[in-house]
Amino acid sequence: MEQIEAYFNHTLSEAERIQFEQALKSNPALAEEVAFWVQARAAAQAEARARRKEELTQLGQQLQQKGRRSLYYALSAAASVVLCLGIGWYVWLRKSVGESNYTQAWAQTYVETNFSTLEGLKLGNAEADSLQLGIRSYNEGDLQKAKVIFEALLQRDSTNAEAEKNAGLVSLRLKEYDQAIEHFHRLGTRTDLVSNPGKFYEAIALLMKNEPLTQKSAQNLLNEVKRDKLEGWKEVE
Amino acid sequence: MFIFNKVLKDDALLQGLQAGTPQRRLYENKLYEKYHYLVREACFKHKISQDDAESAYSDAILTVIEHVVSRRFEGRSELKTYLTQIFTNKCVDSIRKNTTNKAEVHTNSTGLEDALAWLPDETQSAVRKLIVESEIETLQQRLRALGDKCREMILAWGEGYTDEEIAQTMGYNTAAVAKTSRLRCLEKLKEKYKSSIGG
Repeated sequence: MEQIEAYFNHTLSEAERIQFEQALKSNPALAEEVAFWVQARAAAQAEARARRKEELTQLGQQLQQKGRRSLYYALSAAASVVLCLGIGWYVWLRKSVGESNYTQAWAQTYVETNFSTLEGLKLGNAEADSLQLGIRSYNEGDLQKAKVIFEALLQRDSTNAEAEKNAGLVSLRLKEYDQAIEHFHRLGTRTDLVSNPGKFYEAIALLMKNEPLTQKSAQNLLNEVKRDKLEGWKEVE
Repeated sequence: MFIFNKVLKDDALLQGLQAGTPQRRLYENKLYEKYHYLVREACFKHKISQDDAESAYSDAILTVIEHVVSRRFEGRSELKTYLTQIFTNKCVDSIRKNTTNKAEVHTNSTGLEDALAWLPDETQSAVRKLIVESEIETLQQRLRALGDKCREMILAWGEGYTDEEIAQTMGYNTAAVAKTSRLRCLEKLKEKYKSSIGG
Protein backbone atom coordinates (compact mmCIF):
# COMPACT_ATOMS: atom_id res chain seq x y z
CA MET A 1 0.00 0.00 0.00
CA GLU A 2 2.90 2.31 0.78
CA GLN A 3 4.42 1.87 -2.63
CA ILE A 4 1.05 2.46 -4.29
CA GLU A 5 0.74 5.72 -2.34
CA ALA A 6 4.24 6.77 -3.29
CA TYR A 7 3.39 6.12 -6.96
CA PHE A 8 0.22 8.25 -6.90
CA ASN A 9 1.92 10.94 -4.80
CA HIS A 10 4.67 11.08 -7.48
CA THR A 11 7.40 10.48 -4.94
CA LEU A 12 8.98 7.42 -6.65
CA SER A 13 12.17 7.89 -8.59
CA GLU A 14 12.00 7.47 -12.36
CA ALA A 15 13.45 3.98 -12.15
CA GLU A 16 11.05 2.98 -9.36
CA ARG A 17 8.12 4.36 -11.31
CA ILE A 18 8.99 2.34 -14.41
CA GLN A 19 9.46 -0.78 -12.29
CA PHE A 20 6.08 -0.25 -10.62
CA GLU A 21 4.28 0.20 -13.94
CA GLN A 22 5.96 -2.95 -15.31
CA ALA A 23 4.85 -4.92 -12.24
CA LEU A 24 1.32 -3.56 -12.62
CA LYS A 25 1.08 -5.05 -16.12
CA SER A 26 2.08 -8.53 -15.01
CA ASN A 27 0.89 -8.77 -11.41
CA PRO A 28 -2.92 -9.06 -11.08
CA ALA A 29 -2.72 -8.90 -7.27
CA LEU A 30 -0.94 -5.55 -7.51
CA ALA A 31 -3.52 -4.34 -10.02
CA GLU A 32 -6.23 -5.30 -7.55
CA GLU A 33 -4.46 -3.42 -4.74
CA VAL A 34 -4.14 -0.37 -6.97
CA ALA A 35 -7.83 -0.59 -7.86
CA PHE A 36 -8.72 -0.75 -4.19
CA TRP A 37 -6.50 2.22 -3.33
CA VAL A 38 -8.08 4.32 -6.10
CA GLN A 39 -11.59 3.38 -4.99
CA ALA A 40 -10.80 3.98 -1.32
CA ARG A 41 -9.40 7.39 -2.17
CA ALA A 42 -12.52 8.25 -4.17
CA ALA A 43 -14.77 7.00 -1.35
CA ALA A 44 -12.83 8.98 1.24
CA GLN A 45 -13.08 12.12 -0.90
CA ALA A 46 -16.82 11.64 -1.49
CA GLU A 47 -17.53 10.95 2.18
CA ALA A 48 -15.37 13.84 3.38
CA ARG A 49 -17.06 16.18 0.91
CA ALA A 50 -20.54 15.07 2.02
CA ARG A 51 -19.68 15.62 5.67
CA ARG A 52 -18.07 18.98 5.03
CA LYS A 53 -21.06 20.08 2.98
CA GLU A 54 -23.33 19.29 5.90
CA GLU A 55 -21.12 21.37 8.20
CA LEU A 56 -21.19 24.29 5.76
CA THR A 57 -24.98 24.04 5.43
CA GLN A 58 -25.28 24.39 9.21
CA LEU A 59 -22.90 27.34 9.07
CA GLY A 60 -25.16 28.86 6.41
CA GLN A 61 -28.21 28.44 8.64
CA GLN A 62 -26.37 30.13 11.51
CA LEU A 63 -25.44 33.03 9.22
CA GLN A 64 -29.05 33.39 8.14
CA GLN A 65 -30.25 33.44 11.74
CA LYS A 66 -27.52 35.91 12.64
CA GLY A 67 -28.58 38.09 9.71
CA ARG A 68 -32.22 38.01 10.78
CA ARG A 69 -31.23 38.85 14.37
CA SER A 70 -29.03 41.72 13.19
CA LEU A 71 -31.88 43.10 11.10
CA TYR A 72 -34.25 42.77 14.04
CA TYR A 73 -31.81 44.56 16.36
CA ALA A 74 -31.17 47.29 13.79
CA LEU A 75 -34.90 47.89 13.28
CA SER A 76 -35.50 47.85 17.05
CA ALA A 77 -32.68 50.33 17.59
CA ALA A 78 -34.00 52.59 14.83
CA ALA A 79 -37.53 52.41 16.24
CA SER A 80 -36.23 53.21 19.73
CA VAL A 81 -34.31 56.22 18.45
CA VAL A 82 -37.37 57.50 16.57
CA LEU A 83 -39.55 56.96 19.63
CA CYS A 84 -37.09 58.75 21.92
CA LEU A 85 -36.77 61.63 19.48
CA GLY A 86 -40.54 61.82 19.17
CA ILE A 87 -41.07 61.84 22.93
CA GLY A 88 -38.30 64.39 23.39
CA TRP A 89 -39.75 66.64 20.76
CA TYR A 90 -43.26 66.35 22.25
CA VAL A 91 -41.99 67.14 25.75
CA TRP A 92 -40.00 70.11 24.44
CA LEU A 93 -43.03 71.33 22.50
CA ARG A 94 -45.36 71.15 25.50
CA LYS A 95 -42.73 72.84 27.66
CA SER A 96 -42.17 75.69 25.22
CA VAL A 97 -45.91 76.16 24.82
CA GLY A 98 -46.49 75.99 28.58
CA GLU A 99 -43.97 78.78 29.10
CA SER A 100 -46.02 81.19 26.97
CA ASN A 101 -48.42 83.77 28.36
CA TYR A 102 -50.88 83.18 25.59
CA THR A 103 -52.83 80.08 26.32
CA GLN A 104 -56.21 78.66 25.55
CA ALA A 105 -57.54 80.37 28.68
CA TRP A 106 -56.34 83.73 27.46
CA ALA A 107 -57.92 83.10 24.03
CA GLN A 108 -61.18 82.01 25.64
CA THR A 109 -61.36 85.23 27.62
CA TYR A 110 -60.60 87.26 24.50
CA VAL A 111 -63.35 85.51 22.50
CA GLU A 112 -65.91 85.99 25.25
CA THR A 113 -64.98 89.63 25.66
CA ASN A 114 -64.68 90.66 22.03
CA PHE A 115 -66.71 88.28 19.88
CA SER A 116 -70.03 88.02 21.69
CA THR A 117 -71.51 90.56 19.26
CA LEU A 118 -70.61 91.92 15.87
CA GLU A 119 -70.82 95.50 14.67
CA GLY A 120 -73.04 96.17 11.67
CA LEU A 121 -72.03 97.98 8.46
CA LYS A 122 -73.96 100.91 7.09
CA LEU A 123 -73.86 100.41 3.32
CA GLY A 124 -76.84 100.69 1.08
CA ASN A 125 -76.58 97.63 -1.15
CA ALA A 126 -77.89 94.09 -1.32
CA GLU A 127 -74.67 92.60 -0.16
CA ALA A 128 -74.64 94.84 2.85
CA ASP A 129 -78.22 93.72 3.51
CA SER A 130 -77.14 90.10 3.60
CA LEU A 131 -74.21 90.99 5.79
CA GLN A 132 -76.52 92.87 8.16
CA LEU A 133 -78.84 89.91 8.24
CA GLY A 134 -75.97 87.67 9.15
CA ILE A 135 -74.73 90.04 11.82
CA ARG A 136 -78.24 90.33 13.28
CA SER A 137 -78.54 86.55 13.44
CA TYR A 138 -75.11 86.37 15.09
CA ASN A 139 -76.03 88.98 17.68
CA GLU A 140 -79.32 87.22 18.39
CA GLY A 141 -77.39 84.04 19.08
CA ASP A 142 -78.60 82.18 15.97
CA LEU A 143 -75.08 81.19 14.97
CA GLN A 144 -76.11 78.46 12.50
CA LYS A 145 -78.25 80.91 10.51
CA ALA A 146 -75.45 83.45 10.61
CA LYS A 147 -73.03 80.82 9.30
CA VAL A 148 -75.31 79.98 6.36
CA ILE A 149 -75.67 83.64 5.44
CA PHE A 150 -71.94 84.41 5.60
CA GLU A 151 -71.00 81.22 3.67
CA ALA A 152 -73.52 82.11 0.95
CA LEU A 153 -72.02 85.60 0.73
CA LEU A 154 -68.57 84.07 0.26
CA GLN A 155 -69.93 81.77 -2.44
CA ARG A 156 -71.13 84.80 -4.36
CA ASP A 157 -68.03 86.85 -3.69
CA SER A 158 -64.94 85.10 -2.32
CA THR A 159 -63.15 88.44 -1.95
CA ASN A 160 -65.61 89.74 0.62
CA ALA A 161 -63.28 90.31 3.56
CA GLU A 162 -66.05 91.13 6.03
CA ALA A 163 -67.92 87.93 5.17
CA GLU A 164 -64.71 85.94 5.49
CA LYS A 165 -64.00 87.45 8.91
CA ASN A 166 -67.53 86.94 10.18
CA ALA A 167 -67.66 83.37 8.84
CA GLY A 168 -64.50 82.70 10.80
CA LEU A 169 -65.94 84.25 13.95
CA VAL A 170 -69.12 82.18 13.66
CA SER A 171 -67.04 79.00 13.26
CA LEU A 172 -64.98 80.04 16.28
CA ARG A 173 -68.08 80.54 18.41
CA LEU A 174 -69.43 77.19 17.19
CA LYS A 175 -66.11 75.58 18.21
CA GLU A 176 -65.50 74.53 14.59
CA TYR A 177 -61.87 75.49 14.96
CA ASP A 178 -60.53 74.00 11.74
CA GLN A 179 -63.02 75.95 9.66
CA ALA A 180 -62.33 79.10 11.68
CA ILE A 181 -58.59 78.67 11.11
CA GLU A 182 -59.20 78.23 7.39
CA HIS A 183 -61.27 81.45 7.13
CA PHE A 184 -58.82 83.52 9.16
CA HIS A 185 -55.83 82.12 7.28
CA ARG A 186 -57.36 83.14 3.95
CA LEU A 187 -58.07 86.55 5.42
CA GLY A 188 -54.56 86.87 6.82
CA THR A 189 -52.91 86.25 3.44
CA ARG A 190 -54.68 89.21 1.83
CA THR A 191 -52.53 92.22 1.15
CA ASP A 192 -55.24 94.57 -0.12
CA LEU A 193 -56.80 95.42 3.23
CA VAL A 194 -55.99 98.53 5.23
CA SER A 195 -56.54 96.68 8.46
CA ASN A 196 -56.28 92.91 8.53
CA PRO A 197 -57.00 90.96 11.73
CA GLY A 198 -56.62 87.60 9.92
CA LYS A 199 -53.37 86.44 11.50
CA PHE A 200 -54.38 87.56 14.97
CA TYR A 201 -57.73 85.79 14.76
CA GLU A 202 -56.08 82.72 13.28
CA ALA A 203 -53.77 82.66 16.34
CA ILE A 204 -56.85 82.91 18.60
CA ALA A 205 -58.49 79.99 16.81
CA LEU A 206 -55.29 77.91 17.04
CA LEU A 207 -55.07 78.59 20.77
CA MET A 208 -58.70 77.58 21.20
CA LYS A 209 -57.99 74.29 19.39
CA ASN A 210 -55.44 73.62 22.15
CA GLU A 211 -53.09 71.02 20.60
CA PRO A 212 -49.30 71.15 21.05
CA LEU A 213 -48.63 71.75 17.36
CA THR A 214 -51.38 74.36 17.03
CA GLN A 215 -50.16 76.07 20.20
CA LYS A 216 -46.74 76.42 18.66
CA SER A 217 -48.18 77.79 15.41
CA ALA A 218 -50.29 80.27 17.40
CA GLN A 219 -47.20 81.50 19.26
CA ASN A 220 -45.40 82.03 15.98
CA LEU A 221 -48.34 83.97 14.55
CA LEU A 222 -48.66 86.17 17.63
CA ASN A 223 -44.92 86.92 17.44
CA GLU A 224 -45.43 87.94 13.81
CA VAL A 225 -48.43 90.14 14.70
CA LYS A 226 -46.39 91.83 17.41
CA ARG A 227 -43.29 92.23 15.28
CA ASP A 228 -45.11 93.64 12.22
CA LYS A 229 -47.65 95.60 14.30
CA LEU A 230 -50.58 93.93 12.54
CA GLU A 231 -54.10 94.33 13.84
CA GLY A 232 -54.29 92.95 17.37
CA TRP A 233 -50.66 93.68 18.21
CA LYS A 234 -51.63 95.74 21.23
CA GLU A 235 -53.24 92.65 22.74
CA VAL A 236 -49.93 90.81 22.63
CA GLU A 237 -47.57 93.46 23.94
CA MET B 1 -3.47 35.98 14.21
CA PHE B 2 -6.91 36.79 15.55
CA ILE B 3 -9.00 35.75 12.59
CA PHE B 4 -12.24 34.75 14.25
CA ASN B 5 -14.23 37.93 13.71
CA LYS B 6 -12.40 39.55 10.78
CA VAL B 7 -13.45 39.56 7.15
CA LEU B 8 -10.24 38.43 5.50
CA LYS B 9 -8.91 39.64 2.18
CA ASP B 10 -8.71 37.07 -0.60
CA ASP B 11 -4.92 36.90 -0.44
CA ALA B 12 -5.05 36.02 3.24
CA LEU B 13 -7.72 33.38 2.58
CA LEU B 14 -5.66 31.78 -0.19
CA GLN B 15 -2.56 31.73 1.98
CA GLY B 16 -4.46 30.23 4.86
CA LEU B 17 -5.94 27.49 2.70
CA GLN B 18 -2.63 26.63 1.06
CA ALA B 19 -0.47 26.84 4.18
CA GLY B 20 -1.63 23.41 5.24
CA THR B 21 -2.04 24.16 8.90
CA PRO B 22 -4.73 22.75 11.19
CA GLN B 23 -6.35 26.21 10.92
CA ARG B 24 -7.28 25.44 7.31
CA ARG B 25 -10.80 24.58 8.49
CA LEU B 26 -11.16 28.10 9.93
CA TYR B 27 -10.06 29.66 6.64
CA GLU B 28 -12.54 27.45 4.77
CA ASN B 29 -15.32 28.75 7.03
CA LYS B 30 -14.14 32.34 6.55
CA LEU B 31 -14.25 31.89 2.78
CA TYR B 32 -17.76 30.47 3.07
CA GLU B 33 -18.93 33.37 5.25
CA LYS B 34 -17.30 36.08 3.15
CA TYR B 35 -19.24 35.34 -0.01
CA HIS B 36 -22.40 33.89 1.51
CA TYR B 37 -24.35 36.92 0.26
CA LEU B 38 -24.12 35.38 -3.24
CA VAL B 39 -26.77 32.86 -2.13
CA ARG B 40 -29.49 35.49 -1.88
CA GLU B 41 -28.46 37.01 -5.20
CA ALA B 42 -28.63 33.58 -6.83
CA CYS B 43 -32.17 33.03 -5.52
CA PHE B 44 -33.32 36.16 -7.36
CA LYS B 45 -31.17 35.73 -10.45
CA HIS B 46 -31.77 32.04 -11.10
CA LYS B 47 -35.19 31.78 -9.47
CA ILE B 48 -34.18 28.83 -7.32
CA SER B 49 -35.16 28.09 -3.75
CA GLN B 50 -33.03 29.10 -0.77
CA ASP B 51 -32.21 25.43 -0.08
CA ASP B 52 -31.08 24.77 -3.65
CA ALA B 53 -29.00 27.94 -3.65
CA GLU B 54 -27.40 26.99 -0.31
CA SER B 55 -26.59 23.52 -1.60
CA ALA B 56 -25.09 24.88 -4.81
CA TYR B 57 -23.08 27.43 -2.83
CA SER B 58 -21.66 24.77 -0.47
CA ASP B 59 -20.69 22.64 -3.47
CA ALA B 60 -19.04 25.63 -5.11
CA ILE B 61 -17.07 26.49 -1.98
CA LEU B 62 -15.85 22.90 -1.60
CA THR B 63 -14.79 22.84 -5.24
CA VAL B 64 -12.91 26.11 -4.88
CA ILE B 65 -11.18 24.82 -1.74
CA GLU B 66 -10.12 21.66 -3.57
CA HIS B 67 -8.77 23.69 -6.46
CA VAL B 68 -6.93 26.10 -4.19
CA VAL B 69 -5.36 23.32 -2.09
CA SER B 70 -4.31 21.31 -5.14
CA ARG B 71 -3.00 24.51 -6.77
CA ARG B 72 -5.38 24.02 -9.67
CA PHE B 73 -6.52 27.60 -9.02
CA GLU B 74 -3.55 29.59 -10.27
CA GLY B 75 -4.76 33.06 -9.30
CA ARG B 76 -5.16 34.29 -12.87
CA SER B 77 -8.61 35.58 -11.97
CA GLU B 78 -9.94 37.04 -8.76
CA LEU B 79 -11.07 34.50 -6.20
CA LYS B 80 -14.57 35.97 -6.20
CA THR B 81 -14.79 35.70 -9.99
CA TYR B 82 -13.65 32.08 -9.84
CA LEU B 83 -16.11 31.20 -7.11
CA THR B 84 -18.97 33.04 -8.83
CA GLN B 85 -18.40 31.13 -12.07
CA ILE B 86 -18.40 27.77 -10.30
CA PHE B 87 -21.43 28.79 -8.22
CA THR B 88 -23.34 29.84 -11.34
CA ASN B 89 -22.61 26.46 -12.92
CA LYS B 90 -23.87 24.69 -9.81
CA CYS B 91 -27.06 26.76 -9.89
CA VAL B 92 -27.57 25.81 -13.53
CA ASP B 93 -27.14 22.14 -12.57
CA SER B 94 -29.74 22.64 -9.87
CA ILE B 95 -32.22 24.13 -12.35
CA ARG B 96 -31.62 21.29 -14.81
CA LYS B 97 -32.06 18.74 -12.06
CA ASN B 98 -35.37 20.31 -10.97
CA THR B 99 -36.84 20.88 -14.40
CA THR B 100 -35.73 17.93 -16.50
CA ASN B 101 -34.30 15.41 -14.08
CA LYS B 102 -31.24 15.26 -16.32
CA ALA B 103 -27.78 14.59 -15.00
CA GLU B 104 -25.53 17.44 -13.87
CA VAL B 105 -23.51 19.19 -16.52
CA HIS B 106 -20.80 20.25 -14.11
CA THR B 107 -20.08 17.14 -12.04
CA ASN B 108 -17.97 16.99 -8.95
CA SER B 109 -14.72 15.21 -9.47
CA THR B 110 -14.57 12.02 -7.36
CA GLY B 111 -10.83 11.88 -7.82
CA LEU B 112 -11.24 8.58 -9.62
CA GLU B 113 -10.45 9.91 -13.05
CA ASP B 114 -7.66 12.10 -11.69
CA ALA B 115 -5.94 9.04 -10.18
CA LEU B 116 -6.54 6.80 -13.19
CA ALA B 117 -5.23 9.45 -15.57
CA TRP B 118 -1.80 9.10 -13.93
CA LEU B 119 -1.51 5.45 -14.95
CA PRO B 120 -0.13 4.56 -18.38
CA ASP B 121 -2.77 3.49 -20.90
CA GLU B 122 -2.31 -0.30 -20.80
CA THR B 123 -2.35 -0.49 -17.02
CA GLN B 124 -5.11 2.11 -16.80
CA SER B 125 -7.55 -0.10 -18.66
CA ALA B 126 -6.53 -3.10 -16.57
CA VAL B 127 -7.15 -1.25 -13.35
CA ARG B 128 -10.31 0.35 -14.68
CA LYS B 129 -11.75 -3.10 -15.32
CA LEU B 130 -11.26 -3.89 -11.65
CA ILE B 131 -13.03 -0.75 -10.50
CA VAL B 132 -16.79 -0.71 -10.19
CA GLU B 133 -17.93 2.84 -9.54
CA SER B 134 -20.95 1.73 -7.66
CA GLU B 135 -18.63 -0.01 -5.22
CA ILE B 136 -17.42 3.39 -4.08
CA GLU B 137 -20.73 3.83 -2.29
CA THR B 138 -20.24 0.48 -0.60
CA LEU B 139 -16.79 1.61 0.48
CA GLN B 140 -18.31 4.79 1.90
CA GLN B 141 -20.66 2.68 3.98
CA ARG B 142 -17.78 0.54 5.24
CA LEU B 143 -15.88 3.72 6.03
CA ARG B 144 -18.71 4.92 8.25
CA ALA B 145 -18.56 1.60 10.10
CA LEU B 146 -14.85 2.00 10.94
CA GLY B 147 -13.77 3.12 14.40
CA ASP B 148 -13.77 6.89 15.03
CA LYS B 149 -10.01 7.40 14.83
CA CYS B 150 -9.56 5.42 11.61
CA ARG B 151 -12.58 7.06 10.04
CA GLU B 152 -11.38 10.56 10.90
CA MET B 153 -7.95 9.77 9.59
CA ILE B 154 -9.18 8.44 6.26
CA LEU B 155 -11.63 11.34 5.88
CA ALA B 156 -8.82 13.83 6.52
CA TRP B 157 -6.79 12.03 3.85
CA GLY B 158 -9.81 12.27 1.53
CA GLU B 159 -10.03 16.01 2.16
CA GLY B 160 -6.47 16.39 0.97
CA TYR B 161 -4.70 16.87 4.29
CA THR B 162 -1.09 15.68 4.29
CA ASP B 163 0.24 13.19 6.82
CA GLU B 164 2.03 16.10 8.49
CA GLU B 165 -1.27 17.95 8.95
CA ILE B 166 -3.03 14.79 10.10
CA ALA B 167 -0.27 14.22 12.67
CA GLN B 168 -0.69 17.78 14.00
CA THR B 169 -4.47 17.65 14.30
CA MET B 170 -4.78 14.10 15.59
CA GLY B 171 -1.87 14.21 18.01
CA TYR B 172 0.65 11.87 16.38
CA ASN B 173 4.32 12.43 17.06
CA THR B 174 5.44 12.55 13.45
CA ALA B 175 4.06 12.43 9.93
CA ALA B 176 5.59 8.98 9.51
CA VAL B 177 3.66 7.62 12.50
CA ALA B 178 0.45 9.19 11.17
CA LYS B 179 1.08 7.66 7.77
CA THR B 180 1.65 4.18 9.21
CA SER B 181 -1.61 4.46 11.20
CA ARG B 182 -3.46 5.64 8.16
CA LEU B 183 -2.24 2.79 5.99
CA ARG B 184 -3.23 0.38 8.75
CA CYS B 185 -6.72 1.93 8.70
CA LEU B 186 -6.86 1.50 4.94
CA GLU B 187 -6.03 -2.17 5.40
CA LYS B 188 -8.87 -2.46 7.91
CA LEU B 189 -11.18 -0.80 5.41
CA LYS B 190 -10.05 -3.25 2.75
CA GLU B 191 -10.79 -6.21 5.03
CA LYS B 192 -14.29 -4.91 5.85
CA TYR B 193 -14.93 -4.22 2.19
CA LYS B 194 -13.74 -7.64 1.00
CA SER B 195 -15.74 -9.42 3.68
CA SER B 196 -18.87 -7.52 2.65
CA ILE B 197 -18.50 -8.48 -1.02
CA GLY B 198 -17.56 -12.03 -0.12
CA GLY B 199 -13.99 -11.64 -1.17
